[in-house]
Amino acid sequence: MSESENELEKRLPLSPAAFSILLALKDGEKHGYAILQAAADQSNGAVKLLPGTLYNLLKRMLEDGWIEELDERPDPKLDDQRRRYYRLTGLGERIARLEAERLQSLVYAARQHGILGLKGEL
Amino acid sequence: MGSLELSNRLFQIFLRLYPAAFKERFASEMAQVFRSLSKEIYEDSGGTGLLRLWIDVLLDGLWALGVQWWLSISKRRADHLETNPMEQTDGARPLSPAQALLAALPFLLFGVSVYLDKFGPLRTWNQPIVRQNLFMNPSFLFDWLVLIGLFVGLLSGFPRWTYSYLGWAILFAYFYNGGFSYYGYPFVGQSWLILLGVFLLAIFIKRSLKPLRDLVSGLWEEWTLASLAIYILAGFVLMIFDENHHPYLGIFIITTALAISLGAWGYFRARTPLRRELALIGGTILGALLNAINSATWDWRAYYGFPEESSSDVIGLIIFVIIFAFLFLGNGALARWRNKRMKQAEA
Repeated sequence: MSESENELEKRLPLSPAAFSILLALKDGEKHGYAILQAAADQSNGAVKLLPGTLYNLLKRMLEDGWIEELDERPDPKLDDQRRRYYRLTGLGERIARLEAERLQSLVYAARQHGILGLKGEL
Repeated sequence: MGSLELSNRLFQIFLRLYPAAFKERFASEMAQVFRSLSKEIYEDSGGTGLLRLWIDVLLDGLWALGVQWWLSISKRRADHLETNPMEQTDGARPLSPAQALLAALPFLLFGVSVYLDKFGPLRTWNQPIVRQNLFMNPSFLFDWLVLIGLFVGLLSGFPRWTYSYLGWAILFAYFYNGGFSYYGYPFVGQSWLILLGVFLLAIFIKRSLKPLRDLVSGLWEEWTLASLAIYILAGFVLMIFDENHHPYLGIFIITTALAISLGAWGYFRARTPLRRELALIGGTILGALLNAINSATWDWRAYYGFPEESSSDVIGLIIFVIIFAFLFLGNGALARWRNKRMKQAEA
């Protein structure tokens, strides 16, 4: 494991809100409201992002280089001029993967302890 | 104006509370997200849904506001230290001896006012109430001096010595505003109004909220100021010598005032939170010791014809010192933790 990977692991665990944003952007670039909707959809409504938390996290992720802002909107004709779009960077994808692996190992441990049914190997 | 439009406008007003840099970069996007979200919820659940959304958005927004202001102040402080490396001490810089004297002056002046109240030409003590001029009595004059000091501090960027004046001004506003009649004068809020007036006048003269911002940012940078506030209360209790008729009362008032002022002076001269707290503890112990000597050498119960009691005044003073020492040290530890966090953030 490279040193930067170690450094990245220090940022774990991510909050459910932060992880949801990274997951939402994995599917492609999105604007703020679309991120909010995707986060709610992918968590069956468990993660309800609101503007304060959403933009706190987006600001932090921009500063850390996990996401970046698009210079141009995907389709300017179809969209509001004022909207800004964000996309995942390579670094953001790596941290999302590390968090997913961390959660996966927790689920594995839960299965081993009989908290979850053994439905196949990890 | 419809509910949705009103709600959107209110949210835009709320967004103004964010730090300037954050607001400039994200406020319009946040407003847009809120507009889309509230429209969707209003169409689904009407006004009730909108109201629920507002409760959630306010809670979420207040948290986010706190985070952004913390980050903004930390960054500003880090930038400031980068250009002013001499200021890299643990917490606030120690004041010069003269400035520390200015900060300790209200403590000394309070002692003087207590002395004059009991022995001076304007004394209220042992005087028939009809002969008293309330607004010329020593404690009122002291209060005016403190308010003037506060006003000067507000106009000059709230240097650290001003917190001393602020603390005493608040204590006196509280003291005179017990909703009671003081020598026949009813006080039901005037003292707070006068204090508010000092702030408003400073804001009016400066044509800016900067005096308030300076006050708050100074408090934020030096958490041991909370201990100074507690120390002012302790100093007041130890210096007041209410209903005390010790034959050498004058000496006790003067020496206690000097001891308490010395603690305050040491506080403003110290370089670290621990030293600041120790200066305050030292002043409290000295003041309490003088009070203990006073209690041990003058029997107030016999003077007032009260029955003897088994409980000792000295033990009461020891408990007083222990409680205050815990408060000071606890707060000092908190300030040290905070400074460490700030340094980490700056690194």
